[in-house]
Amino acid sequence: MADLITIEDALIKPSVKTNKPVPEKDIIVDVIKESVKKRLEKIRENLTETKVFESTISDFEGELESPKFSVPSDNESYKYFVHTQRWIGHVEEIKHDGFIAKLTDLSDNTTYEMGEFDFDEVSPEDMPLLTVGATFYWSLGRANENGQIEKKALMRFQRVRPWTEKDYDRIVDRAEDKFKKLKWN
Amino acid sequence: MSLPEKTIAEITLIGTGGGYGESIVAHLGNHNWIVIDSCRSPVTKESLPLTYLKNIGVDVAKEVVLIVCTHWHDDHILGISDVLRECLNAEFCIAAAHDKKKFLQLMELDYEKVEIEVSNSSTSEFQMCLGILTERTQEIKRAVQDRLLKTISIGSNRKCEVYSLSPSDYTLRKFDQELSALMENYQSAAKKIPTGTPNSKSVAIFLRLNSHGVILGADLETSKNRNEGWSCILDQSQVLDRVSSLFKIPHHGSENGFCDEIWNRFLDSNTISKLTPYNKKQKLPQPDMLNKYVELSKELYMTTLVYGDKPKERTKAIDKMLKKMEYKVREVKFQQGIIRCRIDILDPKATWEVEPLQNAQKIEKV
Repeated sequence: MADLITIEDALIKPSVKTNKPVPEKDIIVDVIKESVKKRLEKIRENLTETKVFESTISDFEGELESPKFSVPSDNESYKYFVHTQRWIGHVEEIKHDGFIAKLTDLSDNTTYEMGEFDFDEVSPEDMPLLTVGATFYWSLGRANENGQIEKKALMRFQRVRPWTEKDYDRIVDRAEDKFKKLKWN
Repeated sequence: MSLPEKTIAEITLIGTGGGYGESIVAHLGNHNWIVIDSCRSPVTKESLPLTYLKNIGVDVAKEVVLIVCTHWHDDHILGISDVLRECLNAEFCIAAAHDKKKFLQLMELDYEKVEIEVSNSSTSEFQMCLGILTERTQEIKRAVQDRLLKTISIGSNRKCEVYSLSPSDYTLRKFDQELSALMENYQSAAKKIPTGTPNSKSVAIFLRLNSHGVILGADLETSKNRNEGWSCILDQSQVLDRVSSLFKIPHHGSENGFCDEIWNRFLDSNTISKLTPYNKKQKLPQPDMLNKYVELSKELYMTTLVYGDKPKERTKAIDKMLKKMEYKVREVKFQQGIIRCRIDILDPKATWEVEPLQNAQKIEKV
């Protein structure tokens, strides 16, 4: 099983070239790809990045749920994930069977939400990153798995470059500089 | 809303539902105001105490004389840099560790994480305050047990005084050790420094308003160790010289903020109490504690009620998705309430006039 890719990745993936006559189901997929491509272009022209995700809900809902799309392709599987809602989460508490996180809606940064998650939401690769204070991205959306549309949630824990000695030195120097400038009473 | 007269003291608690925070603004006579903590509206991002003061006509640049940051939890600090920026005449007071260099290193370490969205908002807020203070070459006043932070003269030997009742020396020494552990455990770039411990360093305040007394409990908790928390105040404070008639209940009315002895020894039987609820991971106050506070107080007020068990309102498609996938997501609702209490500073027999505004309510027994 290949990894899930985004809709944009799916569109730039080169078509499989063959001398055989193109089967009807592949033509259907191509038509849908073309339609999605046009939609994306339109969205890019008119909307901000955040709104792309909101727009995809209504823009793709009808088309992606069309029975045509459920025809599996023999030549290639198109796998992608269309975000409909995204949050950034901060782990606040780890319990025996899961964890609690503060969630900030990336398209509506007003009030926040609290979410409870089971450990099985976290991929084995991300499990070592699950600690109090860890940051993760959580998305709800629709995934295309071999032509079948499924509602899915994706959770990815943040991976960042580890700090180097130079980074620490810079931080300590900055603190030292502040210490010299500040007056305490 | 109107300004109080020169000899009328005002102690106003501004609070929100959820965990968005609380703040106290106090008039200590002769147009001298203090601001204790700050919180922001998650919608407008405005500092709520600043908005309140401006709405009633306070000249914040001149008339705010002291800003106290009781501790660096988000629900007490957000927006405090805005308050400091606009209140040009105000001193700035915090509870800082003895080891100030290490304290600043931890702040810098956490601030470095801002770019990757891991850092605490409270650190960013504090950093902004340090920037303003450096620019103004203004001193930071450190709050410790029994320190006189401000005196306001009302004339003819009458005065109002602001004292910090905590943190104790023991707590601050312990804080130095905690700083080292925090730096060790949270130096990874991808980890947000947990803010679970600052309640013990919370600055509780005693206001001596001529003959009246007020205790503002911040988030200070009780401790088995009598060298810190409320027990330390009871055992060691030299400034609590009278019973108070107004009490800001500590730590959202939680059980660990409740101290029987404070009620028995330092609060009047006619005490007016007020509190801000909290509805993030746990709901505070719990009904049994609320009943206890109702019984102990002459009147108890809450800035808003505790509620909210649903996710944010979104499109039907997302609601359906969350429901179908059985995710437990709930919005921490925002609602603001103001409890304004005023008293005649010069009249020893005067009692508090309480005005619950916006969503604030008087609480009867549950």
